[in-house]
Amino acid sequence: MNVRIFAIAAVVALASVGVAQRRENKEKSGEAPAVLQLAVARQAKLKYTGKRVVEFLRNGVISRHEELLYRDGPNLRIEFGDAGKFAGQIIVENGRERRQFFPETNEIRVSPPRREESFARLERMMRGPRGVRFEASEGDTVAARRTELIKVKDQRGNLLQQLNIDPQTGLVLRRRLYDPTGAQFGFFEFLTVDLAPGKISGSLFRLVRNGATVRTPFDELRKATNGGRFTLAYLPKKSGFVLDNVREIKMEGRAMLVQVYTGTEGRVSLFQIQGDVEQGRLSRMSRGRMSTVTWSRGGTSFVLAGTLPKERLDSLIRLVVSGSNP
Amino acid sequence: MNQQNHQQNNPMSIDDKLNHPSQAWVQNMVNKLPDETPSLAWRSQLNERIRLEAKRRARKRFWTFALSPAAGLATVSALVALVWMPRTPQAESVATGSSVESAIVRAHQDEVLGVDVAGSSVSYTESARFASRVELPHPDEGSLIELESL
Repeated sequence: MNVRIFAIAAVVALASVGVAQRRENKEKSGEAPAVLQLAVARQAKLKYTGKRVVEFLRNGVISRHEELLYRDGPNLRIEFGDAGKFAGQIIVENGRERRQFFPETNEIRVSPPRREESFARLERMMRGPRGVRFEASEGDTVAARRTELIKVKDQRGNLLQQLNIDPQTGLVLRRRLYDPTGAQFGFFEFLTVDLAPGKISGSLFRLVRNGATVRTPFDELRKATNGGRFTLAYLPKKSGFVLDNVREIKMEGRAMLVQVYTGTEGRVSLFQIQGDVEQGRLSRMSRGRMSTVTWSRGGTSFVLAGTLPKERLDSLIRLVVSGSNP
Repeated sequence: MNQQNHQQNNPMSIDDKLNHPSQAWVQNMVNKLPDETPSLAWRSQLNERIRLEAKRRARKRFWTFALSPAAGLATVSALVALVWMPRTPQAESVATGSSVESAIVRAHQDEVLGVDVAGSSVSYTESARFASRVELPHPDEGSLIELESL
C-alpha cells in the first residue's frame, strides 16, 4: 500500500515537473502569438496589390520612398513610379531569382530572391532558444484595415520590432525596426492595399528588355577585382550561400570590398581590405550583434561576418575560393 | 602798324577785302595748282581693295553667326553636365575617423537590417548607392518592357 502510494506520488511529481519545464521552455523561447504564426505561414501565399512607403534612418540620413506592389503567391512586382530617386526602376521576383531594371543605364541586375529572407530571421527568432519575447495586442488601423500589433522584445525587454498584421490574411501592413537604443531606424507601411485584386496577369512578373545589359553579382565581383586592387576570392555555392551584391567602401585612403551572400541561415558578408584588421577590436564592437572571423593573405585582410555561430563561420572560410572563374 | 592804324581809322568793306591784292595773289596761286584727277588704275586698285575687305568682313560675319549659338550651347551643356551629371554607382565614403572595424560592423548590419525593412524592395545599402533620374520615355513613344518567361 505504501509502495503504491509512493509510486503514484512520484508519477504525479514527475508529471508536474514536466509540465512546469514545458511552460518554462515556452516562456524562454517566446512562443509566437497566433497572428504572427499566421503571418509567417501565409507569407508565401499572399495575393494583393498596394502602395507602401519605406523609410530608413541610418548614419544620420533619412531615406524615404514610395512604391507600388503586385503580389501573387511567390511572384512579386515592385514599381517606383516616374518621380523620386528610383524613378523608372522595376523589381520583379519569383521564387528563383530577383530582377531589377535600371532605366538610366539600361541594365537588368539578376540576383537571388529576397522576399522570404525578411521573414526568415523572424522565423528563426520564433523557433530558436534566443529569449525573444512576443507581445500581442489590438493594433491601430493601417491602410483602412484593422490590425493586431505584435511587439518583439529581447530578454531584457528592449523593443526590437513592431508588426501590425492583418488578422484575416496575415499580411504585415506596417513593420517598424529599432536599434539597440530604442530608436526607430526603419519602417514600411502600406498606404493602400487591395487584398482581393482579382486576376493578376502573369506578364507582370516577367522582366526582359531587348538591348539591356544583364548583370549578375559575379559580373560585379569580376569588375571589382579586374583592376588589381582586390583579389578574386569568394564563397562557392556549395557553401550554402549565394552572392547577392558587391560594393566598395572607401575610407581614408583605404578601399574595402564587400561581398554579401544570402542563404537559408541568413546573410554573411565577406570583407577584403589592404592592411591589418584588429580582430580583438572587431570582436568587441560586434559582440552580441554578429560573429566575425579574420584572416590575412599576402598583405590583404579578410573578414567573414554573420549572425551564424563562430564555428560555422570557421567552416565557411575553409571553403573560400581564390582564383579566376567560379 | 601804319596800315593797321589806317584800317582801324578807315574800316574796309567786304568788297574792298575781296579785291585786296593778297586775295588776288592766293587766287592766282590756287589757279596755278595742277589738276590731280585720280587715274583709272588707282581707282581700280581701290575698288579691288574695297571688294576684298567686304568679302573678308562678310566671312567673319558668317562664322560669328554660325558659331555663336554653338558656343552658347556648348557652355550650357557643360553647365548642365556639371550640375546634373547622371549618378552612377560609386564607392561609398566612410566618415573620417571611422575605424575599419566599425565600418565592417556597420556595413554588415546595414545589409541585414536593410533587407528586414525593405524585403524584396530596394535595401538601405542600395538606396544609398543607386539613384536614378527620371528618364522614362513618353508611353506613346513605345518603349515597352518585353516579356519573357523567366
